[in-house]
Amino acid sequence: MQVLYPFLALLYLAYVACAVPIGAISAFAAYSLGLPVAYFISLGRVLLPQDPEQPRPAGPKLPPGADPAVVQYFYGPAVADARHALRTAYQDCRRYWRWGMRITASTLGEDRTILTWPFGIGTAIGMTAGTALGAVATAGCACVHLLAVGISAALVRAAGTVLRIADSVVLRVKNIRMICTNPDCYQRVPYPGYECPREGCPRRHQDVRPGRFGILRRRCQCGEPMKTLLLFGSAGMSAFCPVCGHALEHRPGSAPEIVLPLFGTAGAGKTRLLLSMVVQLQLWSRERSKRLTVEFGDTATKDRLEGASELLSPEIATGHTPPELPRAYTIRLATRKRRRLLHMFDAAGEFYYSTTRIQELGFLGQARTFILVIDPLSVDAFWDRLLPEQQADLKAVRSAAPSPDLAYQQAHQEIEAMGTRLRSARLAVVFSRADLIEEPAADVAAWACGELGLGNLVRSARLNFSQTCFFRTAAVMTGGAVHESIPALMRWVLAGSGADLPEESS
Amino acid sequence: MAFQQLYYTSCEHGLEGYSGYQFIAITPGVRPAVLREVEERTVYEPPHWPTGPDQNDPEADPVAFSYGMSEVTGETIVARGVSAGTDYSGRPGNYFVHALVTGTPEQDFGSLLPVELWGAEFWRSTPDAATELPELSGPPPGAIDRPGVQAFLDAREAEGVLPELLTAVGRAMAGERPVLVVTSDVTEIVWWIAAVSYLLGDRLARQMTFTTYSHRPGYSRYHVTGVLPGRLPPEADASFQIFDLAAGRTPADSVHPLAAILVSTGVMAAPGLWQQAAAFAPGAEGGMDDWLPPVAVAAGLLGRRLSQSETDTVAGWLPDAANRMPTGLADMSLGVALAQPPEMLSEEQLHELLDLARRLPTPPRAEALERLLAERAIARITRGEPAAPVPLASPAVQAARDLAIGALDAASPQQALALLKWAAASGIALPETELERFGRTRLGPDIPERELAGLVRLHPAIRRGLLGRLAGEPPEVTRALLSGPVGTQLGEEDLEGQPELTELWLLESVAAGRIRSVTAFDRIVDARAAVQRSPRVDAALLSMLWPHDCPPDELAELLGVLTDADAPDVLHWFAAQLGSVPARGMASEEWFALAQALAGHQVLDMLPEQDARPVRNTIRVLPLLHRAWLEGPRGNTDLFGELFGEYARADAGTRRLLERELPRLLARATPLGRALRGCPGDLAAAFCRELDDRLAPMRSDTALARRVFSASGHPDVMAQPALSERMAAALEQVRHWSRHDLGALAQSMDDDAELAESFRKWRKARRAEQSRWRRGWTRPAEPGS
Repeated sequence: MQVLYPFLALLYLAYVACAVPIGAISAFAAYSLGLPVAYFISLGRVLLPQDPEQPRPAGPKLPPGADPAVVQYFYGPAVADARHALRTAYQDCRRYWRWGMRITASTLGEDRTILTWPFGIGTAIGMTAGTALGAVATAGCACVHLLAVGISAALVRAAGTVLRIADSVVLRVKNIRMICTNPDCYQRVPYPGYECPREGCPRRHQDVRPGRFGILRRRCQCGEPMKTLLLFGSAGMSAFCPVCGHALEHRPGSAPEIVLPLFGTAGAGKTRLLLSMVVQLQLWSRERSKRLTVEFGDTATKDRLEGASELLSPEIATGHTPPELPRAYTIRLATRKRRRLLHMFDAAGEFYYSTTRIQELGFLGQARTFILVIDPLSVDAFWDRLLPEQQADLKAVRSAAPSPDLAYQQAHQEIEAMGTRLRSARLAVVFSRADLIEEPAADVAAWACGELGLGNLVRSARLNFSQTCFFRTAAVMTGGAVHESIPALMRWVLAGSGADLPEESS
Repeated sequence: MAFQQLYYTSCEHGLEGYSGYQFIAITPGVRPAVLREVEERTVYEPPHWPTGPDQNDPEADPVAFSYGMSEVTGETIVARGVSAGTDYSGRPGNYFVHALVTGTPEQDFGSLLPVELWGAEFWRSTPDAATELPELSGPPPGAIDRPGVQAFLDAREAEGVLPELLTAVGRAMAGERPVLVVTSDVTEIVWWIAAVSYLLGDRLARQMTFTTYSHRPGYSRYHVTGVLPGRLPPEADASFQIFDLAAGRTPADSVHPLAAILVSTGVMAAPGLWQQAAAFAPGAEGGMDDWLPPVAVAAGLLGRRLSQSETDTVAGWLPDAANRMPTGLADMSLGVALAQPPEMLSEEQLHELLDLARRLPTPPRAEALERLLAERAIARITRGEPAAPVPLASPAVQAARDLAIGALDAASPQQALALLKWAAASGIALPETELERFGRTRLGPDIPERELAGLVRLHPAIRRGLLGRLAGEPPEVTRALLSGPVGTQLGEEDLEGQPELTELWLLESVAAGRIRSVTAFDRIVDARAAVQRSPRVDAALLSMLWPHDCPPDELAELLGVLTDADAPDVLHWFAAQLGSVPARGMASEEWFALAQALAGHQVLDMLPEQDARPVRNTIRVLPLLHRAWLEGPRGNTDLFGELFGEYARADAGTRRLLERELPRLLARATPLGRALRGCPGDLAAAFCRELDDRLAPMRSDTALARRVFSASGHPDVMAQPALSERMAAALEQVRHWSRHDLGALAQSMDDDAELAESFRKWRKARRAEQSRWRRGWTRPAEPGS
């Protein structure tokens, strides 16, 4: 026995000498590596959930009225994921630590304590050191993750801003300024809203541009992807005005828009002139089908103008335009290289009799070229000089409107009041019914001053507008051709707008 | 007040002073803002582009008959716009509008609905020469009336469309998408609008704005707008509820319950329904949702059977709405709800209606509701479902009681338990005779114990009934039952008059630890005495009461009831109990008291000699042990000498007792050395084992260590070499004490300088030996070497 005790003691010491380091190294390895691994597992569980139905961490709260779209990952969900991953990892690490503590405690509290305590002591030492190192490593990983999230979010936001700027620059370079063509609105549209392209989805997106709901694409809450910029083809979707909510059927943003209001007193011939201009465009399109294409921009225009040529017969009187706020007649012009959207507004002449009613015509403030239509027969000075037999012939077509001076003066003042710089605007003064009146010897402006007594109007127009041109037109169609005065007027009106119209010789 | 009239068309000379569209005649006093709004609202354009007088027939163009409210002034505007062919200049597309404006529509319309002005003779389609128009008061009705509308609907089999249309209009009036009605004939549209107006009743119909025709429906501001086929705006589905009657297409949304009621009531009966509903309406009703409950109640009163959803609506609305209506009407409304099939009302609704019936108060309704709730609850219980208690406060309680008694007879134990609990919670007092009968006839050992315990807990009458039945059961069956949860629910008052059951219950109570054995013994003995049962005490009873050792205090108490006449089996039991005394622990006061009680007790004489002798020895030793326990620590060590003497003379049992007890007493003795004088070897060995245990490092009994250290040098100890050596060996353990304990031991010796010095030397010597051993020079001396 005396020999056995020291031997056993030495054996035990050797056992302790081995067990303590083994326990310490194992625990150190398990915890220094285990904690970062636990973090990555938690991160994986958050980013790649096994169960798609599993609820995602709550993202940022959207303000009321926000677009019905899914928030872009780096505009909140990424941070929420990171926060959730950190919380989950912390809980996992705590569980892992407690599990180790239980194991360690069990080595010191069991019947075989004499054998297990060295492992327990070693494990405790290893756990402490391993946890310290593991915590530092995990914190480092978390920092890298958060940094990556932060940098990605910053890059994504920067990309969104750059794309928005690029889109705006492209619109500016292409001279695309969009307006709402709906009555009661006529506002400039900074960017159209779009309806979800999925059939049956009623969601409307006020602002699809790159931002919190997506950079290159966004996803409607129904899951349908949507393009975010006109650059990427968003004009192909159904647009609406973000101001009034009415549909913008003409696909705004796809081409520069030309706003062309016709104004003048009731019965001056505005509607007929508009019809003749449309028919002329159609004729050009037919003649030069490869060089110029003319399409109606929306259903309302098509319904109204499809049979315009039939209405230009000299025997047919044009209907009286009802005194309601007009909707634009939108024509899509396309040449080989250029496309334009031509919005023509034909408000009833009654609007131009009072300033308050002119103010309702907000489209006047969006235009840079105007057409003033005057019925020479309505000017008493001219009518009185006609022979009685001429008066008898023309009485049926003469409009009994007030003096064109009134409409012009009130209109140009209100247009200016709407913010339009008339010094950079153009005005075409059109005297209608050229087919019924003899051609004057002098030029049109001199004729207007001399025979119509509209010198005041002529001088004022020349003074107020940067360019003023005077035309005599006949909005009639004979032998399949529109009166020659119409193409000339159109060339002048659309000159400089980029619409590539045929030359006069053609 | 009366309607102001306005004419508007395109003319050469109008009120504006220029040619073109303008008002040509008005009633003086119309505000300019109203003029502007009428002009905007009544813009008219024929369906097709006017091309001239020859191509268009103005008579064939649709009539735009509209009704709306001015957004600026709030005035009501009724207008009729018609195509007027060419204007003064020969241009086509002219139209003529005759409009009526009023700020007091309630007075000016009278009993007419706006749509009933359609086709009235006063409408003009061409201007008069006058520019000033008279006011129009009391306009006559036009072509629309209820029989006509009913005939129109009958001809079109409108049951499918009308509820949907009515629902859609209600939604539009609540701010949702407006309604577009597409049909090729505008006259047809006005009949549909009339049908909707009649069904919606006066109040809602006057809030419904409409126009029979709009050339630009995409911008229409009316709740209902008539549209010709092919004139629908693009994306209209997103902005409107479209009823394309020409194509047979509707939005196919769900039908509002109010619409269903109204359509089923019909155009002809609708006024009566609305008149009745208005009585129940508190007055703040806005849309269809608000009107549904009062209309449903009115429909119920008129004999219509309500649907499930209508009943739910009424039941949900009534408790609150009743506060705002006269009691009589509330009572009638409640009657309508209760007239529906009972299964249509949930229990929650019935409870709310019961509260209302009590609040009104309407006792007959409350009684009906209580009865209904009770019936339903009992039915639920008999189906094994939970049921909420019904606080019964009306004559319905008698009916509920009868129902409960009837259900009790057929109920399973679990259901019976639920039923009895429900009855108690509902305030139903079931007759005791019935409950006793239930306990006697339906309860028994065959019922699961838990349910049985729950049932007997509920009422003494049930317990009585059960015990009555158990009296006739075999004792083992009864005993098994009483030993379980049922026994815990019984009290002595329940067992009165049933001594056998009482005895069984007491025995089982003792076995379950609910009552002390000695108490049960007393009660059993008393009970036996009361019924003259003999013997009052027997060994079987004692064994059942004390199946193991009888505690010394109870044994001492029992000695008092022993008599000379007790049967031998009782004496044997006592002998067995007393015989086991030496084998039990002795240090308590109870044992001392027992010894005193036994000293001179007749039981010793009654015991056989071989049983009595160890008891007598024990009785002699016990007081000495007790004194040694009390006085040993105070210095009376002579007692140990007496005890050593008893040890030498004692029988084996008493020796075992002393060997077990004395070492503990010696360990307390002071001075220890003197107490150990003459200690027999076996006792010394036992004492040293005690020391080994108590001086181990884990226990570190410092006071004992000091006494042992002090005693180890005492001459009486030195005189016993074996004892001395073993004590020294036990003391060696002190060497392994912690530094703190050793310090405490050394400190305890501070009052005795010689002893302290001796201990210091002892420690030093042991340390020196330890150091040498560590350096490997020599081995420590083995204990005792």
